[in-house]
Amino acid sequence: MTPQFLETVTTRANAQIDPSLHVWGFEITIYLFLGGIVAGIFILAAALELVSGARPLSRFLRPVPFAALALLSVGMLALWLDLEHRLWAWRFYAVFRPTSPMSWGAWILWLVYPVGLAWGLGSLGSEERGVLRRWVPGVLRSAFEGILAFADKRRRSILVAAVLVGTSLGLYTGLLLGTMPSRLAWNSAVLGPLFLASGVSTGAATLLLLRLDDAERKTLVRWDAIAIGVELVLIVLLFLGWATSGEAGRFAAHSFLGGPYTAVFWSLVVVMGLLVPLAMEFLESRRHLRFVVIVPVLILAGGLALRWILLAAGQASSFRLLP
Amino acid sequence: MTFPLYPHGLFGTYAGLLVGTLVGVAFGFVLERAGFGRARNLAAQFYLTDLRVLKVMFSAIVTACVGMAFLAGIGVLDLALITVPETFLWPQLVGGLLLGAGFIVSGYCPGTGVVAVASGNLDAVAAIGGIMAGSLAFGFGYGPLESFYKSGAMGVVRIDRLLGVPISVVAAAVVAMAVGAFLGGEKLEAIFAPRQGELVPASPARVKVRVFSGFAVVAALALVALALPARHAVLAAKPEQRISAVALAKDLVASPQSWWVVDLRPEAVAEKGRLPGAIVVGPEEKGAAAAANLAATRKLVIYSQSDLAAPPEGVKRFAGEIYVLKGGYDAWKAEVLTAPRAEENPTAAQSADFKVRLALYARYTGAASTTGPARSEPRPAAPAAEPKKGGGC
Amino acid sequence: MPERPFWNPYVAGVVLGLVLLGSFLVMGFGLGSSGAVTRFAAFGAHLVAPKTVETNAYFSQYYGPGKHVLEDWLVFEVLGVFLGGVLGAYSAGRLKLGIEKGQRATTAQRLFLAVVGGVLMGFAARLARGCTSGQALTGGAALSLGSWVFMMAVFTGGYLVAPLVRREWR
Repeated sequence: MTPQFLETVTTRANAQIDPSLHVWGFEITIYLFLGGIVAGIFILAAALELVSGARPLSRFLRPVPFAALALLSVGMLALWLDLEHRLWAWRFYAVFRPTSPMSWGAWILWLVYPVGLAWGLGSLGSEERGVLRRWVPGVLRSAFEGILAFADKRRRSILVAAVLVGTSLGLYTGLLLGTMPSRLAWNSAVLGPLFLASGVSTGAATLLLLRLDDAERKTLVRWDAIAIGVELVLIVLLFLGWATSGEAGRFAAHSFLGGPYTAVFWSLVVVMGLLVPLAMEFLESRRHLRFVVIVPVLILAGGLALRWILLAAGQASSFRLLP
Repeated sequence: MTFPLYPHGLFGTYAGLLVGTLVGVAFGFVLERAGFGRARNLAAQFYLTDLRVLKVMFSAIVTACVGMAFLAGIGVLDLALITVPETFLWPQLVGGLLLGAGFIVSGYCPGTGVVAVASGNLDAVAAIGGIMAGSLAFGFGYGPLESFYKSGAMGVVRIDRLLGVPISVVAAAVVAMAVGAFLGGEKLEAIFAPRQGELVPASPARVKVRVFSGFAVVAALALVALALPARHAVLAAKPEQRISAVALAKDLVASPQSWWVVDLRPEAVAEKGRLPGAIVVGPEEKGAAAAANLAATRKLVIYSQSDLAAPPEGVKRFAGEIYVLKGGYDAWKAEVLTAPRAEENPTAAQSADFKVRLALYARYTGAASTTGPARSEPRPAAPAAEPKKGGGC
Repeated sequence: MPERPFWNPYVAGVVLGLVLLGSFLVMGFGLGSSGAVTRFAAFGAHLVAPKTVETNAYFSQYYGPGKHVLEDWLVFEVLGVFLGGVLGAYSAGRLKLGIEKGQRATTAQRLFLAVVGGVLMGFAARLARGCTSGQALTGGAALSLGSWVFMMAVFTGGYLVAPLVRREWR
């Protein structure tokens, strides 16, 4: 099958239909970025409680599940804005197509909400519950109490579910790109894990912006450092995969190794978003330096740049450009 | 002549930008460690209580200058490829005075301001904001300023060339001058710091001896290198070669990194359309001289609008192979940028040629290669399966 | 952790010189910074009034087909300077928000003067085609006549104005 034909059948990208596939703009970047953060928050905040076995120590960590859902809603709003037929978005939920990554994604997104709500309600202290009780209308009072009782009783299962749902969400943001073989720079199975690792790291960075308890902060910084390390390894694997996958892969790799995305990728993502924050986290634990806000800010900027650059590079790399 | 690396085309523009980030990280780190993230350390220079700015800046200039003189002396560095800021005497004099005034008023210069922002100094944020406003003011007021901005133009003036002495001699003089300035500066510190109730900055003799003698040794080595036999570039008369548009087009696809393409037409004409990757140098001898200074690691091809009988004299000093594009840009347009016409009953050779031309046409114009008339192609009876390459595991 | 001391100025200068030499050896040109700040300013102004900036006689050099105002060596270098500064300050225990001023100066005075001096410098750096990094340091090491004139002028200008703003630093 010639490259041109492959493009025509898989992405409609030929001169007669779509001259180029520059159709995913900032909306998708925002969605992938926020989706990654939410995935990271779900995994980390739930894991923190699973590991320590105690409710969140700091006041700021308790409403985090709700904040995560709000962030995800902003992301989904961006996703919805990107749709061509916005009024038909509900049709995603009329079917489930096991072969379509977008269908999986649509359903995973809905799964996040009930899990997040149950987890968040269970995290609330008695004082906050009292406030909520006053706001709930009488008809729903018993249902509300039932949910609270369920959230308390099944706390552990809900936390495990939050970790699982977060993992699927994080993986999905990468797989969405990874399953499109006609975009050379996305054609890699590493993209899923890479976006998951980046999501965990940006999620940790978001949590670190809150005023946390010292012990929680220490754990999060350690986990964040691990996530950044994994991310660096996955970036190496991404390039190894490209280098060993024939002409198309080498072409994709070239745009990051000498091509137009070289400087932004290595400078903004690897140096600014990964190496410098990692070095600072290392210094923090080694030399007992104060925690500074610039570490999470750099990580968040790097995570946004990673998604932005991969999205743009993927859309710019096509079989038709192969020499 | 291995260095500098970048002009030899070892890595592209974008990898160069990445080098910029890494060089910047080192630059920023050293500036911070030198104490330049603090306005008071910088301002002390102008009240003579702590001449840190002078010491750091001159040590850096001396190090880089003697280093370059030495490396050029032993033939590792090609000084002709080092970019030297052009001299515009009057704007640089006035700009310097104004910048000095701005420096002491704001407490930072642009580079140290960035480092100060990085270390959390909010006054530096204000200073950088001011610098942005100031550069915008210059840009929007550029009209009436233009003639002054371009006054006193002397081109690239290197002090060693001006004096007509080898660079290592000037470098040695700079070392002597700098050491004198350092010793004099420390005397000033000893006078002025106590007057303002501050401690005289510590300056251990051991460090001074090591640094100054290091400067002296490298400068001496650079002077000794003058005795080395000079490598004269062989300026043998080279017969220039001629290359057809199609042949060049093919080779530019196959190995774009092996060519310097130089456009000798006026800039306004070249703006409208030129060969991909062509460097526009202007039609005069000055442009030709610029072309001759390109690194000889690539072949040079020059072209004008129509055929060039012979390359301009200046170009001939180019050290590598020189080619002239046969027929100039007109030929390129006719042979590469125009869709090839198919023969009625092509021979195998004609058909192969047509295919190449069609592919080149598609490559350089972006037109889909399948849209051309396909008649010329003698179709095989059955689609031959492509031989599968490699892959056994 | 207590602050780490600053390096001995001569040693810092030698290391800075080696960085500069490295830039010359790899790229063929030296360091800079005001050019990047100008590009950021032009980028910001372009967001507000794209046409005005693109047609401006000075800023038009940053724009054109295939050009991006921030796709420049100096911009990436200054990004590095920022990151290097963060790393340097953090590892020395000096990374904290604050305002550098003399004891007698008020915060408002200091910030006002910082802006005024900044405006002067921004204008001057464009006029002189560079600042202390791009002209004095880099051009000085490359033995450019104009850069040495510039450097002497910077020190002269500084010493002339310093007595007027003594209050700011005491």
